[in-house]
Amino acid sequence: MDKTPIITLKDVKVHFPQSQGFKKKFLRAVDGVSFSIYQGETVGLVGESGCGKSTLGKAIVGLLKPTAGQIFYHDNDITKLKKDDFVKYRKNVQMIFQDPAASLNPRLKVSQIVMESLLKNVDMSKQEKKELVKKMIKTVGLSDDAPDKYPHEFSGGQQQRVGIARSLVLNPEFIVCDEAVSALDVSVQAQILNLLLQLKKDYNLTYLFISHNLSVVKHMCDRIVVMYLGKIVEIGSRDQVFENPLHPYTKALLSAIPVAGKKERENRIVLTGDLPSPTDVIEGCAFHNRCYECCEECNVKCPELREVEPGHFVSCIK
Amino acid sequence: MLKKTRKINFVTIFALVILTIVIAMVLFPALFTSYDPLKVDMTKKLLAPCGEHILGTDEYGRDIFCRIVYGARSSVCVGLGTAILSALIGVPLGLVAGYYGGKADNIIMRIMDAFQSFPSILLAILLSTIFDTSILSLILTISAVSFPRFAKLVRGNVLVIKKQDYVAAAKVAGVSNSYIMFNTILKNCMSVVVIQFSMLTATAILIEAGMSFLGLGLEPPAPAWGSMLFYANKYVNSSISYVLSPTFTIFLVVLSINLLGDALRDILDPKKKS
Repeated sequence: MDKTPIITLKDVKVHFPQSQGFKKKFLRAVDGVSFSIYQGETVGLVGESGCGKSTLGKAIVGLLKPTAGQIFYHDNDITKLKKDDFVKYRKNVQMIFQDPAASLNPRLKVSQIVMESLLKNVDMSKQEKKELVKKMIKTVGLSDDAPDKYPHEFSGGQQQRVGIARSLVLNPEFIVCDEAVSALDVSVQAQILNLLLQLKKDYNLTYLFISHNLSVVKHMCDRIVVMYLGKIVEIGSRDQVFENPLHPYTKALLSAIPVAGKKERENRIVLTGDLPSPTDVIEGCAFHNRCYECCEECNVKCPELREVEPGHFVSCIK
Repeated sequence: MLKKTRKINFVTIFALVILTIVIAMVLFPALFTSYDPLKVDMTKKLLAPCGEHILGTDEYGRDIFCRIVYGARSSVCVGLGTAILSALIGVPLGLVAGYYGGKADNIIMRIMDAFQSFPSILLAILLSTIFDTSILSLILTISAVSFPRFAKLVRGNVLVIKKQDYVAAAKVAGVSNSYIMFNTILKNCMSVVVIQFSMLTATAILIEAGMSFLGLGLEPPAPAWGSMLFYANKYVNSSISYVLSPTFTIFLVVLSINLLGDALRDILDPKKKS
């Protein structure tokens, strides 16, 4: 695999101000995240609800502005890009949304939805654009009469195909899939996942695959990033993370994957306690109040991400 | 299913026919009647409907049907003119306020509050002293107190719609803010705009009636449905057709505009087409 990074995150923070009476608090959705995404790979971003996965995805495509930190696309810091350059960036970095029905404008026909991506910043004649839109709709596996239909006339899986066509028509390098299949039936999920894999090969794409479904992530991804409360707790290749999870949170997540047969279920790790509020400032390790391997030191010291074996990072004192 | 569509079509056609007749009255009133709306004939005052005067005559012996026909021009112009002007000003303001939020929202909405809290009668007196009372000054006056309704309504809708994923998707697609405002968002709140438009048209016709009553509307001899209705009040006991004619005309036109608004909303919504 080519090892040039497409996207590099450096200490990215996305905080949302929340006023409670006179006190001003910050919701730390993403709180200091650094990692790189390399050309041609699929990175899985996993974690429970509210850990900042989607926020991070939105920050990467530029829908949210990071409060602090830098996001590099190749060598350019996108948080400092001028308007014109940002438009070029948009062309190369696209997003597939979670809820296919909500992400398609109900008032537009499918061809118009896909065309929307081409309205700006593409040098093509109208006829060429139309041809391209038609070709794309076919590529994602929709029938010939699809362009003239409205989104509500399609099933969830087909709607997601429209969403894929819309982001693919710009011929991007990198696509953020924000829970792209979690709203779909299991049988349809498989179709969409295989379509994504096929397109990755055909168009030489790089994915950031945000999901809470570990089985899907295992099927799709080369590397996995585990997030907890806005921070990265573990990064590693798929095999490293699945075969040899190091962080207690990752272990707990993996043991929650449903497995057929009773024996496996017995050593399931059940976490106790609740997710701390992301508005609170936590001293020590963010996970310490739920960790089953917690020690004195964890309450005080905030663990740094450290490399345990080549390419496998973990943020745990042990 | 088939039956239902037919019913809708019938209602829509009814509304269209009424409005076509009214528009014809506005453009070519002479086609409908040979009388002069201003000609006074005191020998024939307050006649009941008869062959010669199908809706009877008023207190000055003027033909009521003729005055209704000629009154269409001022009433319809005031109604539609107000609705169009209010929509043209109010909708963009609401879009900008809702979409950008923050300071722009605060400034625009406080101005809207100021306009809405201004007493419309006072404004009407003010404007009628500056300009002569004309259809245009009526439109301006009624619009000045009505357009904030559009702005507020649209703003509320924008606040909901801009959180939708398809707006985020349009942003990722790289289209401009004005495209998102005027295409993506406006298309999705068109239904409320259409309903508000038809309602305001109706309201404006009625406000014009009220202002005529106060002497702030069109000058008395000029025919207008609203002023006819208010002058007819005094003669309810002597001539029932005098009161009922403008009442039913306003009722029919307002109803037709509302029905057409409903039909238009359904046509604009692709989910209701099939």
